Amino acid sequence: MLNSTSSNNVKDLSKVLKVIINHIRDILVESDLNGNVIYLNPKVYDVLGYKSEEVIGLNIDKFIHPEDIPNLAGKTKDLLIRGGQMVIDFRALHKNGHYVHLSANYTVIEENQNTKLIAVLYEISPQEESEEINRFIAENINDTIAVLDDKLELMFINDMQKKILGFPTEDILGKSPLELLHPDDIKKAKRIFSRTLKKEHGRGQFRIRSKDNSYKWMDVNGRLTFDIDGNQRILLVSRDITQEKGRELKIIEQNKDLEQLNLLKNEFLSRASHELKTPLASIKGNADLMKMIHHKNLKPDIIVMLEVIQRNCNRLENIINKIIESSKLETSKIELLTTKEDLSLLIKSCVNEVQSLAKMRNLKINLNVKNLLITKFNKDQIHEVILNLLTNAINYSPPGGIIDIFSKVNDNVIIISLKDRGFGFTADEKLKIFKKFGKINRREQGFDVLVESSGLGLYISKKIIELHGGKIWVESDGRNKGSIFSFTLPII
Amino acid sequence: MVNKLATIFLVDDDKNIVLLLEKFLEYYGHKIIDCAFNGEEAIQKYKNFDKFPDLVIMDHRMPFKNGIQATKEILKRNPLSKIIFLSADFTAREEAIELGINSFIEKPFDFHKLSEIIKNTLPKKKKQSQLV
Repeated sequence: MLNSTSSNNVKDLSKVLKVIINHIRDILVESDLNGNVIYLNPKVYDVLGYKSEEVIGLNIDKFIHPEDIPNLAGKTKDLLIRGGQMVIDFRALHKNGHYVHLSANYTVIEENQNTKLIAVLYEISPQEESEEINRFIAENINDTIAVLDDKLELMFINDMQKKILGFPTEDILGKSPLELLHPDDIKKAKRIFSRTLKKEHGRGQFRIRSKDNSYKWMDVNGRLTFDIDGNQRILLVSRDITQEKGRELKIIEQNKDLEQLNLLKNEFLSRASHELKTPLASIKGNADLMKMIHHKNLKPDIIVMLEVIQRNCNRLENIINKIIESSKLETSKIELLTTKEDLSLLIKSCVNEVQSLAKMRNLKINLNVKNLLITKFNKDQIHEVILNLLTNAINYSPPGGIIDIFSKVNDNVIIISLKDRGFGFTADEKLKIFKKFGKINRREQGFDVLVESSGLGLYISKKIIELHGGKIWVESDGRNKGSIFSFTLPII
Repeated sequence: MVNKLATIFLVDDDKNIVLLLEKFLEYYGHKIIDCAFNGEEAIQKYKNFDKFPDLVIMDHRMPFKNGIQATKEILKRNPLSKIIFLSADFTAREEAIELGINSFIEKPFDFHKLSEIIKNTLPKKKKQSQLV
């Protein structure tokens, strides 16, 4: 070939070029300055579905997405002014009617005093597009993104790692991430890796060693994936949660301390109550016995004094019992034993119990409770709640009033309300009354009340109702405007 | 009232309570055969009784051995012994009842309730014959 004539050389070269042009993987377009196609290689059939001869002679604009035409026209104009090359992406119409993303490399050439445009076009594959997007995401988001190869070694990690852990990328590529884990977390990480391999995803929180040897808490999300050649990869997306974890651990620690303190307090209360009850048994017993045995020999004023001792012993005993009960309700080991009962019957029986107290106070109790309010609850405990609300309503209402009790059933919940025309509560008082010893001293406020209570009744009632999965609350428009106490019990 | 209804063994570390119970029980005609002020003393005294008492009234929180421990030993010695717990410690209730005691009364106690329980605990035959 080297020895052939130059015309033969040109012929041969032209043949070779034709073969190349017909077989290259790109589309080659030759057009005039107006965009009329002069030549097109057969590759266009593979990409856009047209035969070359179907397009030659037509204007290229017919095949460009209308939205991309202004950009292409503008850039082509610039190219013609400055010469050289340009790269531009646009959508071209496939014969089937859909658009194909193409990237074009335009060159201006002069041939026989004619200016022509040569464009080399290739299809941007969806894969290329998503790779580009992936790379962008990996470099710009606030998570550390890493890819592990089939040996579970790091083959890619984005720059976020440098901000969090501080390693130069090259120092950790090729290493197993297990090498960076806190020794206590390795077992858990292995478990999560194997779960990721089996179930395609896994998640866990780990301590990861940074360059300065301190540990960072990371929330790591793993996903099993495969590259285009079918090789197994694990994608790890990790977020630095050191600060949140620090706060969380502190709260857990504080809660443990509080729990411990609470147990100590309850033990103290229980022992203290026992120690209080023993001498009380002695005082009460002697007063009772003195009255019982020597009744006939005692002067009336001595009997009155003994009765004061007896009454106050009972009052003190009641307070001690309430303290014990509230400390029992606070211990987490309490188990709620419930039976199926009719709440309306229990309310009626409570009303009967307090009838004589209400009469003493000249109060009328109106009962507007539906029959057959059947649900599961602890009868003794709910009895205590109702009795407590009723005696409060009686004790803290001025004589001559009315107390209404009514029920409602809403969405599987029974609501019981007790409305009194008593002293009512200010906004501040409403916040206090369900707390331990949160009672409002009405006598100090100058109200005419029957008795002062232990200050634990509503606190215990709240605990009991909450233990049953219900709620208890008070509504009152303020001083002397009465109040409505309500509680709910779920229908089970 | 003056009839000796039953023989009773009192166990309580609080002397005031023992004294009070003595007065009350004797008022009702019962006979206090002995007292113990801790669990250990109660066990020893019970073992040495020639004739077992009709009833034991037992406190729980006491030095050396508590009411539960003393009850176990007493029931070993005499499985038929009648025991009433009288304690301010409600936490002992379940265990004591499981051991087979006859009743549990919380302190402070009510005399009417106590006398009712004693009446129901004592063997009916004896009670009836003595009441006649």
